[in-house]
Amino acid sequence: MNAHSTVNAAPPMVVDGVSKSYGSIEVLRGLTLRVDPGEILCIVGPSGVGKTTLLRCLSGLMPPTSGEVRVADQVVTEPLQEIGLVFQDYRGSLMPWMTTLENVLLPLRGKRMNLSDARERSLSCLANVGLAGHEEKYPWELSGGMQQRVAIARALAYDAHILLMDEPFGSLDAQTRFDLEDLVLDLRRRLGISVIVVTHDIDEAVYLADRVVVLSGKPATVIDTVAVDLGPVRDQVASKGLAEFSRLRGRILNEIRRKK
Amino acid sequence: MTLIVRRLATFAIFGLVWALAVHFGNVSPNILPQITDVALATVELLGRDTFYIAVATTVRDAAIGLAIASVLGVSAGVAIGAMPALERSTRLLIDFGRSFPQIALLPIFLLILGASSQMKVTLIAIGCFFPILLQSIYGARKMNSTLQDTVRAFRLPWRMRFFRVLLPSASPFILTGFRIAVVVSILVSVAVEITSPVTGIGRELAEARDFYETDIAIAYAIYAGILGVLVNAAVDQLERRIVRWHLSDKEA
Repeated sequence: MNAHSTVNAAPPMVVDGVSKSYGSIEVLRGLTLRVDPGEILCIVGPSGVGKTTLLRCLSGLMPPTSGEVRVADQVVTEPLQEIGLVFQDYRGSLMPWMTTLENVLLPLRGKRMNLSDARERSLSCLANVGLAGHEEKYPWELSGGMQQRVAIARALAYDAHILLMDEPFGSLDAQTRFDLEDLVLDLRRRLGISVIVVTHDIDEAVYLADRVVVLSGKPATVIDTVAVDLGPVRDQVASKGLAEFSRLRGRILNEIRRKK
Repeated sequence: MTLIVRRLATFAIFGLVWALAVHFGNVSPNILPQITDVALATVELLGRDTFYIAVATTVRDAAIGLAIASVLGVSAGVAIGAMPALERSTRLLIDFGRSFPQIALLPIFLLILGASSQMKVTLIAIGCFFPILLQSIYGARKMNSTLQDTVRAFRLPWRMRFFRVLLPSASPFILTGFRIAVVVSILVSVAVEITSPVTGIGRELAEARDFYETDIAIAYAIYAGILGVLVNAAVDQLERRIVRWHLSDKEA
């Protein structure tokens, strides 16, 4: 299947001094980062550091207490067209009363795209994530990995140029996780989308990312930004066997441990 | 023994106990007629026009009341359940409404609407409204948070949120409410017919009783029971069709 032509240049995303407090509890303090067009940025940090809070602020589901998030020149105050969300809980995020195709189609119909265009687009995005032939199945007839592929296809079909993924592969088995990580790398290469992945898995972060942002502390701050120079094409065995790979994962692991 | 044989056997034992009790208990047939007389009465009813009119009227009024209650109960319930603030404000009123013995409204509606089908339908609708409302609120409230985020993230318009997401997501709970309401609809219908002069199974039953035709009265009660069983079976079928995904999703 061809990559569809509509996705070419993802807009840059800028996070400018974002802080978030729940009542008197400060969770995030002064986070500043940027996501370049076509970049994969991974945000790692220990469990409970506030990664999901950050992602909710980035997606516009929740306003930051101070600072702002901008996509191109637009300040994010509510969910945007350019941003597609993929959740850890893929089961909860798909509608079990709809087929795979209907799940992908619904947001397009919500934007008033006509049915035949929406269908064509949904089918092409399902093919893009390797689900051709599964369009008429229900989510509960698919494996966990396939369900998460449906969620990714839905975000792509919605014309999201920036994928925000919250622990997307956390509840999948290792083999399936590797396949989906490679799918993300492949989609970025073919479609030029930007991807932000929030994860606690350091190996996953280094394997996927062009840059890894390390969050730590209470309140969480950016303690390091690590450039990963492993190139755009990676291999689960070869890349992870490189000295550079283990140097980077060691560095990040140490930073998280030291801060704790 | 197969299940069907055992089930028929329990009926036979029940009938035998009845027959023996009447036979040896020296019970007046005005109070409890012999089971064979009741059996004859159930057959006899099938030859009467009034029987068919009564059943049709009861079913029609119960169905209209149920339909009104379903439309109002589901739309109000899902809307209330989806808005936590509204749910908290209305909770006291709804708790009062559902605990209220709705049949106590009978004299009031009898006064306002007279002994009419409208009066009966109104009471049925009120009785059916609360179980449907409560289950709809519950169903809408139970919508999982990831799905709520998903709906917001993809900026679905409200009409689509309601009909394509919220309503199906709440439908297993709504069907539970509907199942309760179906029983209530027949119950209230027959009760209103017994206690006020409006057409239906209950009216025929009450009149037979007044003329000491106890066998006919019991025959009507049996048909009311059969009606309940049939309606329940129909709801079972409906449930299987509408929420097939729910049953399969739970298994997966």
